[in-house]
Amino acid sequence: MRQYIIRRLLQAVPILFGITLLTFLIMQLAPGNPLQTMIDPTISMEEINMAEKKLGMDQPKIIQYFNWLREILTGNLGYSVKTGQPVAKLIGERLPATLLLTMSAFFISFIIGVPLGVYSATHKYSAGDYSMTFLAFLGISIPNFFFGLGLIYVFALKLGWLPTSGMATIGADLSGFNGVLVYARHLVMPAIVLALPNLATVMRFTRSSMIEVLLHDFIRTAKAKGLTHRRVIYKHALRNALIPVVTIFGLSIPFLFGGAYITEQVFNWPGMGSLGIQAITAREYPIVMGLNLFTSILVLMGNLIADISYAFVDPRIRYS
Amino acid sequence: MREPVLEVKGLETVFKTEEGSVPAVNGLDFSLYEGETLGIVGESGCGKSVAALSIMGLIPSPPGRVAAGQIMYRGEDLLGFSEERMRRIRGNQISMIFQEPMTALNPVYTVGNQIEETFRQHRNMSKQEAFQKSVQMLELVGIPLPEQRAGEYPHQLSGGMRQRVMIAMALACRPDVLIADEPTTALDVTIQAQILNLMKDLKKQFGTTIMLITHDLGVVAETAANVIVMYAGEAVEYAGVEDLFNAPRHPYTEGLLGSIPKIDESCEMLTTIEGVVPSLMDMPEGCRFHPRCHYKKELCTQKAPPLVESGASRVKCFKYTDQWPHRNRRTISP
Ligand SMILES: Nc1ncnc2c1ncn2[C@@H]1O[C@H](COP(=O)(O)OP(=O)(O)O)[C@@H](O)[C@H]1O
Ligand SMILES: [Mg+2]
Repeated sequence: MRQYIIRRLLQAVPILFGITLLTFLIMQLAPGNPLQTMIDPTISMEEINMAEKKLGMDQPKIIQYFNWLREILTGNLGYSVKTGQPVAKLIGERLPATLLLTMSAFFISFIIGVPLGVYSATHKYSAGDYSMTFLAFLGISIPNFFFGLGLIYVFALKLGWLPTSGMATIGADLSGFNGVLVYARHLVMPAIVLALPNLATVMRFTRSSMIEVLLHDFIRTAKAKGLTHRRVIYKHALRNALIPVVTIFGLSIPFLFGGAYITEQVFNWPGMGSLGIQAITAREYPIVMGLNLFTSILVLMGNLIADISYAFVDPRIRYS
Repeated sequence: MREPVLEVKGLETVFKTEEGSVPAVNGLDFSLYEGETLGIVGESGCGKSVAALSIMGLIPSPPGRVAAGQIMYRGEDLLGFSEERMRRIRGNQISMIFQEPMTALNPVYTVGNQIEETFRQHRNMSKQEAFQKSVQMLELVGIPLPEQRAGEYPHQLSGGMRQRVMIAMALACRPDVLIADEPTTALDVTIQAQILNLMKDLKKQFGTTIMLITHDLGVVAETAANVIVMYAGEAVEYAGVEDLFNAPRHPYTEGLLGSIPKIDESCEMLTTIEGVVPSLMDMPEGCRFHPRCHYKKELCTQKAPPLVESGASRVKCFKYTDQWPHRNRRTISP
């Protein structure tokens, strides 16, 4: 088990380097260089050359890459072109909001998706199963922004139950339980919107995995032992059915971070997604690259967590 | 005669398929007497497993359904039991072991855990007590280092060991009846013998009544006292094991015996029964075996033979009735 985890961690190292290399290359391919946006047109060529030298931009690309890598490893992701603020700080400010949103969506999709999938599988071809299949396809095909606007219209504008946007009400008391409530009320809609397609995927995946597992011989053995229906389904079948579902653990992380760009925009959620969209429209390459790098690393970690979860649910992986 | 523990009467189990309803078991009758080992033989596809699963109440439904008959267990018809009542019987009074030890155990739980849960389900034991009992069971079925093995997963054990675990699991609650469906078919020959010996030992120790399903007459010869020969969903011969081998009555039984290799015969001719078990979709009229039977007369193609006594055996074949032309010196024009 420990060996398996160590092996997975070691495998992640070259991938991490690949990510930094790719990010660096994309940055090089982007038109213009940072100096051009900083200088005013009256400056002389000599001064530009001096500035380039000072910034290390006259050196070979490979040296520049390693210089950049060294900076990244010390936590320096560069600076905003417009404001000069460190990118790491900008991302750091937005990270908690995005993590809160994506993790909520992550838990919603699994905590609701798995039981619904089990229900569908054990009531295969019933009215309940068909309606859930229908809803799942709806969930996968409705665009985030459309569903989001629909929810805002109904629950915020018409019913007035929930706030339209933002993460907290300005001027509200954010201490203690009251604070939790304020955040939760703001979180509900964006989290559901972000979770929905993932929830539908988890549900469909659990359903087919469960149906497949229920045909196995060991399910018949469990029944022949006189175990209750509950134990047969939730102990013997579900645990096996979850093995492939764990793959979605890893897949849903990039999916959710990607979805967050749109969802955050719709709900004015102050996270990395809205920072990213602002940065793209303002051609803030350092911020875009910083976000890119950061998100890639999160995705890598997501896959790592999925791989390790595999070993936890499947002893055949753990002991080989 | 001793009391029958289990009496199957006119059992009919059908499966709905795309081409219509097919009877996998069609009018099966037999009694299982206290303490005996009853062998049930027949080629694959004869409905042996379906019969066993019908008794357990485990016919997958849909597509399957027990359409008719009775399964009397100690005087009560199991077919009338609620699912909950049936569940309490399974693994407790009637247990079953299966052909494939490789797939019959859950890969994600330790074997100890899988035996424990039988105790916990039927005996309400605490976790520790159930664990100790499970280790005892593993020891009983001859698994070395039982305490350590209890913590291992099925994929860490060999096929023979897994079948021992299955037996430990099935016998955990000291059932009245053990249904063993081809328990050795998937195993190596040497391991087969070990498992059969184990079953014989345990039977002696607990007095369990065993219904042993197999397509291997060698297994029957070694273990069973009485044998039922099944063909196409029904029993065609009931016999003591000696009679079955020395004086087989049904032409199908003769055919089965002919297909066992005999070491002492210099000529290595293996007779096999020509043809295959008929498809359930188009069951032949009259005797179901007639298309493959050497003794076939016109009579056999017209109506189903009755069950008649012949010596100590009972057989479903016109040869042993007074309608048989040969005996009566009556000739039927071909
Ligand atoms: N789940 C099922 N669905 C449809 N038909 C089945 C099913 N299980 C068994 N049968 C039918 O019952 C017949 C007898 O099967 P089985 O009892 O498994 O034979 P065996 O004597 O080899 O154990 C098979 O030929 C098959 O047509
Ligand atoms: Mg079978």
